[in-house]
Amino acid sequence: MLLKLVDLFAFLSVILRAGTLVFQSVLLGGVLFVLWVARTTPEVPPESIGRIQASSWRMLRLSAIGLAIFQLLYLYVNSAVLMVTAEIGFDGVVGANFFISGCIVLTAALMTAVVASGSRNIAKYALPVLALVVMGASVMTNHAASRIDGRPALIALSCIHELATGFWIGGLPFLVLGLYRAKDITTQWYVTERFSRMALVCVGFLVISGTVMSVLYIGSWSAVLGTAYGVMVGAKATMLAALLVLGGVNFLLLHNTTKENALPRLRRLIEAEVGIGITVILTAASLTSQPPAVDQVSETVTWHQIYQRFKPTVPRLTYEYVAEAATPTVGTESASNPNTPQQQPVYNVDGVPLTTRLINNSIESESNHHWMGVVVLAMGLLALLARTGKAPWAEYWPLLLIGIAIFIFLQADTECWPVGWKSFGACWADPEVFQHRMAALVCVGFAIFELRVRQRKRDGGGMALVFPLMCAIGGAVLLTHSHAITNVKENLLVELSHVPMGLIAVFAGWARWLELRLPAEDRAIPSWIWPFCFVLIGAGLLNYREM
Amino acid sequence: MESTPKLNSTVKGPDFTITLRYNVRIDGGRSRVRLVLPDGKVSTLSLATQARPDTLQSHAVGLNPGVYILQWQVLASDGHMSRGVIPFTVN
Repeated sequence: MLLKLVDLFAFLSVILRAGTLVFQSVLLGGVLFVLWVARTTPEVPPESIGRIQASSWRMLRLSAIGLAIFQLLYLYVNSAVLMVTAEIGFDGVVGANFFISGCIVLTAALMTAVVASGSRNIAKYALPVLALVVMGASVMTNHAASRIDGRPALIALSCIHELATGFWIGGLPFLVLGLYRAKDITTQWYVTERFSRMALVCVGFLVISGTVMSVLYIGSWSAVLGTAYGVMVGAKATMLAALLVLGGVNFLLLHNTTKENALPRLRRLIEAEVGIGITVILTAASLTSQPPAVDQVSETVTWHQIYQRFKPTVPRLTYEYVAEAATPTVGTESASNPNTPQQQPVYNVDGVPLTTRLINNSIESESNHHWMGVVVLAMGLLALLARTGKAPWAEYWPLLLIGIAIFIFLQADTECWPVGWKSFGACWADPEVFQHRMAALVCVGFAIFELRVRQRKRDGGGMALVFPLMCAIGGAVLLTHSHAITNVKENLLVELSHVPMGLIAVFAGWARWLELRLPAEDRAIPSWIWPFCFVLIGAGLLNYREM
Repeated sequence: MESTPKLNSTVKGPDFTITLRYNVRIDGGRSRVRLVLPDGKVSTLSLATQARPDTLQSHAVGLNPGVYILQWQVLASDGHMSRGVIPFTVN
């Protein structure tokens, strides 16, 4: 039974790895925040900085417990898969690198939770050590640990990269919380300035280490788009660029305007930074599940193959399947039935002719995506129209989302209930069906919340934030997935269409978030960005192809 | 990865060395190589002590002519598991 679930476990393993990396980063960021950023100083009222410290220590304890839970689950899943597939007992797993590393992280995380609850004097010495232990053990399960060449340099670069990520991105939630907890502008300004200085240094280390590792792990320009690894690194770099834009705006606000003017904007921009930053870490988890591009030279897709797959064509809005008799094979006539249109041979990216079943699967999948494209494009255009303020009826665009949900549920997995032979429950075990159903639920959530928000006009309170969060989470799910080790080129071409859409969905979500959260006079730019993102996603879906 | 025998190749039997070389360090003690015989039976091959951290080796003995499939599953030092198959023919 467990063997049948190995593929699902591979996906689960990425999710758990993602959770581990997120909590690890927050733990690292929290340690630096409580020990350095939010340090007591005569410059600010002690009760105000005390409130920040109390909430930060609490969040640090929670992040340590979160890390311990995710690490435990990760250990369980990986150990179970290894025991079943290698037919070894638990004692055989115990000496594996991932097991040793996981146990070290688990112990250090639990100790962090304990230390963060006790004496501050002990904590200021113990926490940096524990943070370094967590980071060091984590790198044991990084690509760098298993490389043959240049291992010490890659391990050192990975340590710098993970530390910088933790201190900056992991520290952002503490800054957001601190800004809420501090009631006076002086304290808020003090904490933000200190964090900003630290973040600037971290960004430098992050970009340098990331660039060097990208060069070493990707190896060539052709692999940037031609391998899943290169594409995911590109996605990370794009999100990092967005973070730098937000960080740059923060920097300008800090240095070119008054505290009273800057702080309300800073808080909102940092919220978006937290969301995009966590998505970057989730993408990094996905990246660790696949071999570096330099190891996949023979599996690299050429730019010509990418162009052939993605050159714009007329969308397929019908389900005209190929008859069995028309199975195309090289050098044979395809159709024996005179009423069946002549089917040209269809090849995969390696030039191998596809079977009838594969062609029909692709026809179904392409038609599904193209119908989705029509609806999403319509939504984007209606949202843009609504944004102009000249078409109030266009505000009802969220209704289209319910249609999408029904369509996904019925048409995305035709082998599943209610149209297929597989039961509703059994289909959940298929990672693809799982992701489709989650997407359908996200759509229903979108529709309900966004319609209600629009009925109440722009400031719909907390409910208004559901739409941008769902949008950003949907995008993050597209970016957080396991990667196939077989049929690598075809899977890469599918990924090349999904990753940009995931990225745009993340940006759409956080643009809408900023539209809702920023002061009214600053909403213009984000309010145009997210509908435009929808238009781009619709266009991308309309050009989705598998053949 | 590189292998001997290569994918879909023909090798001279009945005895020969099987070598699997990867791009990463492999935990040989927790990796498995199985041989699917022409009659469908599966036998797990015993692996030699690793001479290189990226290589697994085994010795096939007494293989009759026919089509065989090598199934491998490796645990890399970073904790990732990979699987694959290498069909080959013995003449």
